[in-house]
Amino acid sequence: MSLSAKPAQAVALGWRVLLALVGGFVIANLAAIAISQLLVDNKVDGIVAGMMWSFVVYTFVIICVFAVRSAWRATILVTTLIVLLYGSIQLLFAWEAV
Amino acid sequence: MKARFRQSMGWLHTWSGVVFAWLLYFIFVTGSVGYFENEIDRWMKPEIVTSNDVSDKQAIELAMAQLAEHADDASQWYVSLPTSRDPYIEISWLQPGDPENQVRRQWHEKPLRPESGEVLSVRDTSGGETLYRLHYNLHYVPPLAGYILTSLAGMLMLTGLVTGVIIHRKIFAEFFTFRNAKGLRSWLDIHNVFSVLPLPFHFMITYSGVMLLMGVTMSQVIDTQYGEGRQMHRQFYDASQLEDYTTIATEILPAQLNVDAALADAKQRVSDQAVNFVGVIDRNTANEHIEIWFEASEGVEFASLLKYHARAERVEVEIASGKVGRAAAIYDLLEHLHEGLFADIYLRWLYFLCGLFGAAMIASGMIIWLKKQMMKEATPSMLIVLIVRLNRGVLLGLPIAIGCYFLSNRLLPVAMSDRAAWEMHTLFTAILLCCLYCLTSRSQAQWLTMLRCTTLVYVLVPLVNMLTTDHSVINSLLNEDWLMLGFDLSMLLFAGCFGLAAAVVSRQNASSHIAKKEPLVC
Repeated sequence: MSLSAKPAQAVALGWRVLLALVGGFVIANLAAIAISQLLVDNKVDGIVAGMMWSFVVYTFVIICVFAVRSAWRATILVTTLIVLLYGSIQLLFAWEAV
Repeated sequence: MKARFRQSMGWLHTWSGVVFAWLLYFIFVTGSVGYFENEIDRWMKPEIVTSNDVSDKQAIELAMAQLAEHADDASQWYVSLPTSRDPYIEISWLQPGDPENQVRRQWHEKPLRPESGEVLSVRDTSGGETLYRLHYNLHYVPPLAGYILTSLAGMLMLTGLVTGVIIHRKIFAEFFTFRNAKGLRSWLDIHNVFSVLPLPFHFMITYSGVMLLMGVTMSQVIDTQYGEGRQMHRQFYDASQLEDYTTIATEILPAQLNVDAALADAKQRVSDQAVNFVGVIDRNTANEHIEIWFEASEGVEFASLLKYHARAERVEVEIASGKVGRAAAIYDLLEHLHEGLFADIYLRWLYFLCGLFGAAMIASGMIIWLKKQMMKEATPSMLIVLIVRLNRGVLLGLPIAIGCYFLSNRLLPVAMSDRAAWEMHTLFTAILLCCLYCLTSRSQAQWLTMLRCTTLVYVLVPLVNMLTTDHSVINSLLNEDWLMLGFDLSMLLFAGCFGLAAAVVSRQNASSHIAKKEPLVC
């Protein structure tokens, strides 16, 4: 894709960049929280582990957003990941409370 | 977008590299220079008197006398004993703050004269520390902005590395391929060499670099999982850094505990390493104790640390045996790999070279991209011309600027106020001037001029050192001042490399002028 792309393409591209950077950041944070909730025996170390993994997750999301065929699919991918992660965090949280 | 996976990965590779290319180049170069922080520090403080033949006992005696005289009210004392990387005695203490008399709470560091122990007055300099900190604080911006910008650049670098591996099918074969004088093809080959050869280093340094700032960039995780606010974050940090300790009772009686006794005991326990620092911590409190730090050169594990506490019956020694948490232990390992403090002189040079390879990877990638842009159209757009010119200014402006930073240390008046800050201003002014030159000059041979200029700057560094101090290369050799000598010779080595590059470009310019070939670089 070049700088002189058609407007529709440019919008789709800009959307993907946004999905990758912002969506990826949100997913990285959620993933870190989920991991830290899984490792309950040492809470603090779990948070460290979560934050360390988050950058791997972030890179993976950035690549996936650009690897899928269309900006539409990328949107679905990012939304699904956010919903899944957020759901599992809430479940883990509820389970911890019990 | 792109029908084929590899193509879209190629696109991502290009753009994740190009967007922050200059910042990444800056990070790689200043970070690499940071591996020689101590050596640069010694060079930038020529007043320091080095000595390799003071015994630890003598050094401690001299240092303690000075600390008692200058820092009686300080809560923390440290003595840095002569080691191969810092062959001089230095004392440091934490000056307590006194708002009434407008005294700031801060660390003071003073080198001592090895014979008499008197405090040496050293010129005010930014030294090696400010130079290496550039690679994550970016100096002029607020620290938080610096951390976030470098982290973002690091994330894109990580993306660039992964996509780079994906798009290269024959990664191993390409690593042995170099086709000389084939224009763009040669640049692609050289880009592969710079990237693939030290690929493990690139991954390690990029990931660990991003990781080291995670307390800032991923702070929301701490907010939600531990607690919000500065104090909670501080508490989290301390909790995550918790170490396992083994406590052993020593032969020393509580009343006998002093630095000499602790040092003698510590040397018996760790006989194969040299002592690096001795500290008296929490002075004049119930928790007063003595720390003995050994040199970090014995493996990736950080310097062994022994702490001596006076207890009821005996003095007890605490020996740290690594982090409590498993993730924290891996974090530790990666941090040490990133900083390379354990590296001896040979490994240190390898670290430095790998870092420069990283810078060269980014520079060559940028040149490839620009060459492709230039080829696309008969007359390249204004924007591309602008980027081409700025690219020259940044790529060679940075080495020139670092040379000027060293020169400013010798040439600025010693009594100048804010001298250390002006050394840094010199560095950035030099980059700015280089960019301005490249933007405005109509010369066809900007690369050549800049390369010659870089060569000149690095020849000047040892020369100016010789003229302004009594540390000429010959003197350093005679005085066995290896750091000073090594620094000057390294500068000449860099001058040689840049000179060689200038010769190559000059020959290429001459031949492409006759044959109307495309120029070597753009």
